[in-house]
Amino acid sequence: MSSNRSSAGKFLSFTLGKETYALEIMKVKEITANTDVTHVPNVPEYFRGVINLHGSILPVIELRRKFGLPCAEDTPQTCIIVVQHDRGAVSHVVGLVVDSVSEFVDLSQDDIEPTPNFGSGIDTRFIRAMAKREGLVITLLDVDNVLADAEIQTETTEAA
Amino acid sequence: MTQESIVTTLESVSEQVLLLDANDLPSVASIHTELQGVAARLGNAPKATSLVSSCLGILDSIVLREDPGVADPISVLGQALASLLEAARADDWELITVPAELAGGAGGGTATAGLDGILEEFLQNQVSVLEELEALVLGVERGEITTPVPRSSVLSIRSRVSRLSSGLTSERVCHRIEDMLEQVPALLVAQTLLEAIDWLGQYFRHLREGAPAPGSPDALYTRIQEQIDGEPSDLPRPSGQQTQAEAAPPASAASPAASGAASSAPISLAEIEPQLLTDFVQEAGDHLEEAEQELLRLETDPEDSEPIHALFRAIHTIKGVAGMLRLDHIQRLAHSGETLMDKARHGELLLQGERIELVFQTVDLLKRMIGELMSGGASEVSAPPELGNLLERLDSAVNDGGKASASAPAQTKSAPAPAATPNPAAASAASVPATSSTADAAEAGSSAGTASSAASAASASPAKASADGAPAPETNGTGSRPESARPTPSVTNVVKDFIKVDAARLDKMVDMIGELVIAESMVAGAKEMQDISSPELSRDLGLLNKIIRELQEIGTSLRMIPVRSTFQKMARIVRDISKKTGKHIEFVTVGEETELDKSVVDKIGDPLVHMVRNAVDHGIEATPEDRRNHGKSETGRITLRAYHREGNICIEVADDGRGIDPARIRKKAIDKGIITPEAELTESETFMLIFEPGFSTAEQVTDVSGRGVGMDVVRRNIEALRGKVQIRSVLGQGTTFVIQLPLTLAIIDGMIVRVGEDRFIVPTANVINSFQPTEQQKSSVFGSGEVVVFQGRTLPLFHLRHLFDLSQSAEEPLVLVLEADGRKIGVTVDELLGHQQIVIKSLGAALGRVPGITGGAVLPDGKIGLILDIAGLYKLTESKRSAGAPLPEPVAA
Repeated sequence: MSSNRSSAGKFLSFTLGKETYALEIMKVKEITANTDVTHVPNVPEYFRGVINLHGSILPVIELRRKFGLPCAEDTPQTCIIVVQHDRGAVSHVVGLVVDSVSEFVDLSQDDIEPTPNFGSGIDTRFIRAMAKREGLVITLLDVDNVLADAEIQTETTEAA
Repeated sequence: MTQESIVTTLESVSEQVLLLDANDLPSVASIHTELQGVAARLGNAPKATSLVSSCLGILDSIVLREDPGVADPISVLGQALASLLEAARADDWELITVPAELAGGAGGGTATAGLDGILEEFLQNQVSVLEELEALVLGVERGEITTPVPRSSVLSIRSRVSRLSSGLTSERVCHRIEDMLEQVPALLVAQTLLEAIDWLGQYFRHLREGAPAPGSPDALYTRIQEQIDGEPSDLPRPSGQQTQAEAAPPASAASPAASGAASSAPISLAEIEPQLLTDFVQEAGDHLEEAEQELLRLETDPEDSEPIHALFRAIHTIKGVAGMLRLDHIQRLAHSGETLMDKARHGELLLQGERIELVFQTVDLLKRMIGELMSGGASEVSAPPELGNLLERLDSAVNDGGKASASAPAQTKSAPAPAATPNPAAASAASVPATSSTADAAEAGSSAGTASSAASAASASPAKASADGAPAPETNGTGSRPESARPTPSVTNVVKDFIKVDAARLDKMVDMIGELVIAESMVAGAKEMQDISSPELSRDLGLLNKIIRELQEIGTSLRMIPVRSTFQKMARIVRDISKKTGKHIEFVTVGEETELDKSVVDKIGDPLVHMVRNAVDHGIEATPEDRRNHGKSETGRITLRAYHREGNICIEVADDGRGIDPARIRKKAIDKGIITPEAELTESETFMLIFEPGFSTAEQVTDVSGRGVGMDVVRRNIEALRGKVQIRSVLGQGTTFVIQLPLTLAIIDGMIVRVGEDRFIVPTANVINSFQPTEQQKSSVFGSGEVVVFQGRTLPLFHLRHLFDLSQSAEEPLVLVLEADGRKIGVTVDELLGHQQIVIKSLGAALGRVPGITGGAVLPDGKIGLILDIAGLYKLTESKRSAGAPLPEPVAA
């Protein structure tokens, strides 16, 4: 549904295994190499936990797990992309664990293709579009959809 | 007035609206006035009243240059008026169709307008003024203020009413209240006043938070009218207050300044509440600053009507409040200034040249006079020497303007030239030092025009009198009274200075200070630091530590506000319930100035309401006879007390009623299956049963309390604030509930514990004990549900490892005994790592609520530690149990 949107612009590309992804630069607040994560119990397992980001607590999502990729050991290149997204009136800040960040890319409309039809196997809600650049296929992520899907809806636990 | 006259007015207004240009403020004002007339004549027609007030709201916002909340205000006005007119002609208000743009706001057009910062701030002020007002009314009603009711308290009430809104629907209500207060002493109308306060409160909440709109104020108007007409209030009044009611009229007869009558007993500055004065000085300062800016704008473009309106409003407000406070000189000066501005506002004269200079001088003098109030040294009593002179020149300027406009009404814009000619004389008088002589001033007056000369002589004399330092009675015709007769206040009212700060910024700062505290402990505690043995370094570190602690204290204190307003609400509740139940109750508050974190104050209200209700309903004996039979005075007493104790704040709700019978509680608890008949409980443990869910001792369910929910909710709310509640009670003598609260919510004392490789923080408030259990103390049920024996009681034993699915296997030799919600549990841990003050942080919106965890905190090594939510652990055990292995029930404390 989101492939109709104009997707050209500046992106930050990163890798998960051999695959290259990118997200809009506007969503990125910073990149941190601090992966000293405190595990948080009883939350979906794609939440790696929380880290201390300049004195605030930042929830961190393991993108590999979120996308169903096999887990990998952290390497010196592993880092956390801090993204900000707005849900309703509040803006949420979340960290995304990626294998490595690659580069900032300028994508023109010519580079971009609509999301192909993968059939039922792939959740295309997370994909905004695909791009080809220097022989590399880049998946442009729809960060809002990824996070909206990942976040735990605050529920009232008073019922008990 | 008849329907016909409404139709005529509406017709004329509709025509005007058709031709209306939003920049033509005089026309907008005239439409506003006519519509107000219509509103006053509508009578009982809620639909029409609502629509007219919506229209008035739009007009107000046009005048005030605010966002009217509709795209094309004038066309919406036109539609609304057309519909009104149609309905008026048919004499059936039900025919009204509200234009879609206005349909959203039931109370008035402004309700739909986006709440910009100004309105938000305004509403916030209104709410606090209402609270003060309520406190005053209750004070007067309780007769705490001596008989006869001093005019100062009547005035305090009136000034609060006058500071309430303008430009909104509520304005009319306020006007009615003012009318009423002018004619009836406050004491007699306390009930009606309280109703009006409730209505206004509801209205403001409606505007601010989208709470349900209050009903039509018509019923309120009727009540107010009854009071004005002298019909007796139909509400029962406690008999003790009758005498005061009778004694009150003389005070009120003398009070209204609006009647214009000379008053015989002036109020000294000392009589005015300091708070009231502070508010006035602050507000007036803002207004004057605004006035000055507008003046500068006006100077560049004298034809611009907008600054004139702003000026007028500023001066008018000062005049009003000064009048209420009986700051006569300020009021007189503001009045003269206002008169001049009023003429300018209606286009009768142009503020230019000499006149604008006059206004500048007026603003300056007002500033000085108000500034003197602020410094508190000199009382307002003595008029500054130049006051008389300035007043006179203002008057003459007004009169000239009047003459000019009378002679050339059609060309007001060009009129100022001739009008300005007499002024140089007056202006030259200004440059002469005012102390010099009366003659100069009189001369100036006579040259300015005969009409003002008499006034000038009169008003010049006090200037001379005060210049000579000799007290002399004013000869001015209005408000004459012996100025020197006022006692000069010996106490200096030094007015505090305040700065309003965005709460979010404040929180950020308090947060950062918290981080600083932790960073400092990280540095001081670093291994490398321990290796340096330098007395200088340790001394400097000590100094740093001291400064940071002080900074932390200041930071914490920034968010502290007194519990006064919350206590005040309780006073109202006691009053209402005692009337409902017919009990005579004296309500006493102690320590209202005790300060608490704002968020705690906001949240403590509900539990307090519950406890106070309980005290009135259950605590105090049902009838005065009951009390007499027990040898007590017929009037029950409820005391609300706040004080500091051991770094906590305590709030006590005490009654001198029948007390709690432990035997009855015990029986009831057994009946309800809360405890077994065999349970051995101490007296205080028995009292605590009241807080168990489903426990209510009320013999009958009343609408006041006793629905069987309640006390358990009270406890849960208090524990959510990390507080504790205790009960002391002596049968036949009374009951005291003690709520113990932390000073602030942001920082807690925490115990850091280790489980395997994970660290958790347990709020120290929840920790009862920690011990190393022997094998005999541990046991299990059904092979899996573990229990531990602590001080002769069996507690369920939980492993965080299980609850949180921690992978590491651990020995967990230690047991922490934790308590929350009145239940105790044992939790196993590997090691206690230490005690620390920690700053609580949310885990972030993305994670929402994590069961068993309240939040996180940055630990000394920079990593995040999770804070355990003890009450949440129970729920977690329950969900784990339903998912698998059976676990024992937590036992009642």
